[in-house]
Amino acid sequence: MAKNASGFHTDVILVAAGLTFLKLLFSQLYYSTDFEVHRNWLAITHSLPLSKWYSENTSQWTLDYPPYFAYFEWSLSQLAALVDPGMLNVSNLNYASGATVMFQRVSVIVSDAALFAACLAIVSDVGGAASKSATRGGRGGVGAPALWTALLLLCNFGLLIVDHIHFQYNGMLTGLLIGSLLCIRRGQAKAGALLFAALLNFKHIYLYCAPALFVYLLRHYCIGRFSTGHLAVKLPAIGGSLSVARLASLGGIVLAVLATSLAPFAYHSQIPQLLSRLFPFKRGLCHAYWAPNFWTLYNCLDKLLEIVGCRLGLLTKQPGVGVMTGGLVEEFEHAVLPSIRPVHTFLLTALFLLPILYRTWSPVSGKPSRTLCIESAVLCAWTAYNFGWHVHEKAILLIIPLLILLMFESEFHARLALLVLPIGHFSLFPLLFTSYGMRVFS
Amino acid sequence: QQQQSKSSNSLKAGCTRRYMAPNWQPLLPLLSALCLGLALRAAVAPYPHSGQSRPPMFGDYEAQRHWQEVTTALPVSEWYINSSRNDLLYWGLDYPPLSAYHSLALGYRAAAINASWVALGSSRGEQSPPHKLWMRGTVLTSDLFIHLPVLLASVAYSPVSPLLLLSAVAMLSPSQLLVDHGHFQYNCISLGLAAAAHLLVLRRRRLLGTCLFCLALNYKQMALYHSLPLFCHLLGDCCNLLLSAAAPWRAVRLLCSLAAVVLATFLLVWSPLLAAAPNGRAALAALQRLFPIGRGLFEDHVANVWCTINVVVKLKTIISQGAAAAVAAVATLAACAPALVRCLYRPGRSALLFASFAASLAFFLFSYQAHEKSILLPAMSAVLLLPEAPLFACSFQLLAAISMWPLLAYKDGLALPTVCCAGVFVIAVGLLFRWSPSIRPASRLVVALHACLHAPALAAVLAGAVLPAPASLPYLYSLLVSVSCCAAFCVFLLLAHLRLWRLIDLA
Repeated sequence: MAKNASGFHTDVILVAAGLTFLKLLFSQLYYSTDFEVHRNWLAITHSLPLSKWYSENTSQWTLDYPPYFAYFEWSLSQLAALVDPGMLNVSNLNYASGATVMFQRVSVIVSDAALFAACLAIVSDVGGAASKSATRGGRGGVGAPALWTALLLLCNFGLLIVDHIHFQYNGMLTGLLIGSLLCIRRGQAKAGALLFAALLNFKHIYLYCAPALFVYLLRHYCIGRFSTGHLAVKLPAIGGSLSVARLASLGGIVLAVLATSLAPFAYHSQIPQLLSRLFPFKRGLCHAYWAPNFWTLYNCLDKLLEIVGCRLGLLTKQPGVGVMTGGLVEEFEHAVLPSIRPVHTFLLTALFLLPILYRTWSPVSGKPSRTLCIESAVLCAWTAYNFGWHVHEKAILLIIPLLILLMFESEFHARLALLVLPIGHFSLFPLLFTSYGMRVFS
Repeated sequence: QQQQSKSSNSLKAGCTRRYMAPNWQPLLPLLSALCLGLALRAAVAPYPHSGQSRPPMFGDYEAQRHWQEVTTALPVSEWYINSSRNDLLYWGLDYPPLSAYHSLALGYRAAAINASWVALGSSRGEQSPPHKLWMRGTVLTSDLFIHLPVLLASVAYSPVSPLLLLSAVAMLSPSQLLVDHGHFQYNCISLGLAAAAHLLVLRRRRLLGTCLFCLALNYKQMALYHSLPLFCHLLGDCCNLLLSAAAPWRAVRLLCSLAAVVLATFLLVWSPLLAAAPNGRAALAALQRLFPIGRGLFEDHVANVWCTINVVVKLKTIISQGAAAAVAAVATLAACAPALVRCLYRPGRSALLFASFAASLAFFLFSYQAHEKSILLPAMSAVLLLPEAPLFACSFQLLAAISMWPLLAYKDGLALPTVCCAGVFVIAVGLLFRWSPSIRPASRLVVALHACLHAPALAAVLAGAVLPAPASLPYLYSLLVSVSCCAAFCVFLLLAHLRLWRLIDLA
C-alpha cells in the first residue's frame, strides 16, 4: 500500500485516465442548449473582429462571460477550423455535425487537465494534512486523506453531469479555483492572487468568493509584523503593520490581469456593452429552474399566502403577478410579500457577509488556521448563492469542491460535507431531467 | 463478522446486554460497485442497438420485440411452428420455453404501455425512443436483479482487500456489458442463473443449484456449455459419498434426488408446450428450433478453431455437414476431457470453477455452430474465478471483449462504447493490483506473457481502425482479429488445464 505522495500520483493519474474513458462514453449521450451556446461563441470569436464580440446578437445565446473565456474560445476556434469549419459560421444556428460534437466534448475533457493538475497538487501537498495523518488511515481504508480529496474532486458527480453531459467548462475553472486556494493556503499569496484574478476573468460568478479572499489576503498577508526596513505603515490598533510592498504587489497583479483582459475592449469602447452583458439585471429574481436558495422559500411563502388569501377572500388573484414557474426569465412581482429588486439582494448579501468577513479578519483563535481561507471562501460563496440575484442552480458547483477540500480536516467538516454533498448533487437533477429519456434515446 | 446481540428484555437485575448495531461495513463496497456497474450499463444503453435503423431484418433487438409480439398474440402451440401468422424466417423463436415465457411477460407489459409496440404483424421495426428506453430498462432490471447480485456474492467472501476494487472489477466485465446493454440480449438471466448454480453447488446446496441450472438451460440452450463440468462435479460428489464408508445409500439418495429435480424442473418448464398440442408436436417443433443441425460448421467470423482452419483449408468443401458435426463433437469432448476427469476425480471449489471455464472455452473453440457471443460463457466462468486467479481472469475477460470487436464495432456501431468500457475495465484492474499486494502478479514475465496474448488482436483492431481493408479482402481485419483471438484462447485453455492438474500456479 503506497504511503508516500509519489505513490498517490500514480493513483490520481490512473483514475483520471479511467474517468477520461467514462467522459468519452458520455460524449454522445445528450445534446443540450449549452452546447449550442459554446458553438456560437466559437463562431463569434473566430469570425468576427474583437470589437463586435460583445455586441453580436444573431443568436439568442450572446457572449456573457468575461474576456479571458472569449480568448479561450478564440484559441479553441483555431483548432476547430481544422476539424469542421462549418461550426464557425455565426449564422449556422444549431449546427451539430458529428465532428463538431466530438470536438467540443473533447475540448471539455482536455480542459479538465486544470482540475487534474490541481488534484496532483493536492496529493503533493507537503506540510498539509497528508503528512500529518498519512499513517492514520481508516479501518481497512486506503490511507491518506489527500488522496481521497483528490479522488473525490476528480470524480465529482456534479462536475461530471454538468460538464460532460450538459456541457460546460466548470472542471477547468474549478481547477483554477482550487489551485489559487491551495497557493493562498501555503502562503504563496501572489500566485494565488494571480490565479484567482485570472479565474474571475474566465467566469465572473467567482466574484461570489472574492470578498472573503480579499479580506483574508489583506489581513493575513498584507498586515503583519515585518522586519525593519520593510516598507510598512504601522497600525497600532491591530498590533502590526500594513506592508505597502505586499499590498502593491497584489494590487498590481490583479490590475495587470484586468488590464490584459479588458484593455482591447476599452480600446474599442466596448466596456459598457461588456458590462451590460456580464451583469444582466434585467433577468428575474430566479432562474428558470430555481436554485435552492432563500428566494425559493420566499417565493413559496408568497405563493402560499396568495392561495390562502384568495381562499379566504382577502385578495383577488391578479393575472401576471406571482407567476414564477413559467420557465421564463423575466422580471415579475410578488403577490403578497414585497417584491424584490437587485439592490435588496445586494444589501441582504452584504449584511450576511459581515459576520463572515469579520471572522475572517479576526479569527477566533487569533491566528489564521490552515482552513480559514477556504472556509471563508465557502461561506462567502454560499451566502451569495443564498441571497443573490438570479442565481443558477449550477452555482452549487462553486461550493461543493471547496467543501470536499475541507472534508478531511475535522469531524465537523466531514459531517457537514456528508450532509451537503448529496443534497447539492441532487439539486442538479432538474438540469438533466428535461425529457432526458427521450432526448437521449432519439 | 461481528456478533450482534440485541438489547434483551433485560429485566434481570444487573445484567444488561448492550445493543450492537449490525455491521453494515462489508455492504458498502458491494453497493458502490453495484452502482458503478449499473451506471456504466446505463451509459452504454443510448448507443445503437443491434440492427438499429436497418430494415428489413434489423437485428437482435427486433428479434426480442418480435418474440414478445408472437407470444402475446399466439397460443403456446403455435410459438415454434411455422404458419402464416408466425413466419419463422423472420426471427423465429429459437430459445427454450423459459425465454418464451419471459417474452410473454414482457409482451403483456409492453402492450399495457402501448399496444402498437407488440401488435401482431404491424409492429415490425418498432424502435421509437420510448420503446427503446423501455426495452433497455428491461435488460437493466434483469441484470440488476438476477446477474449482478450473484457476481457480487461470488466475490463478497474473498479475503482480497479492498473489496471495493475487486467487486468493481467483477461488475465491469466488458463483454457481458456490451452484448447485453449495447447489442441487446438477455444473456444476464441465463448467465446469472448458471453462476448462482455454480455457487450453490459449491456451498453444498446441490438441489437448489441443480434446479437453477436447469432453469438457466431452459432459458438459453447455450448454457449446455457449462453442463458437463457441473454434471461431473455432482457425479464426483456422489462417488465420494459412495466410497466413503459412512453410508453408501446417501450417494444413491443424492443421485436420485438430483435426477428428480432435473426432471421436475424440465417438466415444469415444458409442460405448457407438451400439453398444448397432441403427440407433443409443439415440443418437438421447439426442439428442432433449438438445435438446428442444418446450419454450417460456423457462421461469419468466430474466434473458433474451425474458422481459423478454414482460412487455410476450406473445410466446407472437404467434409459433409454430418461428418463435420461428428468431428466437432469428438474434438470438443477431447478438448475438455482432462478437465472433466479432474472434476470427477476430486470435486472441489477450484476444480469446478476451472473445469467450468475450460469446458465452456473448449466448447466455444471446437463445437458446431458456435457464435461469437458464446464467448460470454467462459467469460462468466472467468468472473467466478476472479478471487482465485485474478490476472488470468481479467486478462481473459478483456480478450473476450476484443474478440467481439468485429461484431460490436463493424456491425453494431458500438466502437466508442467498446473502447471506453474496455478502458475503464483495464484501469479498474490496474488499481486493483496496485492496492492489493496479495494478488499482484508475482513476476513481470507473467504480465508480459498476457500482454503478448493480447498484442496481435489489438494490433489487428488498430490496423482496422487506421487502414482501409483491401478491396479483394473486405473482411481481412475481422478475420485477423478472430484468428489471433483463437490462438490466444487456445493458450488460455491450455493454461486452465495445466492449473487444474496443479502443474502450474496461476498468480
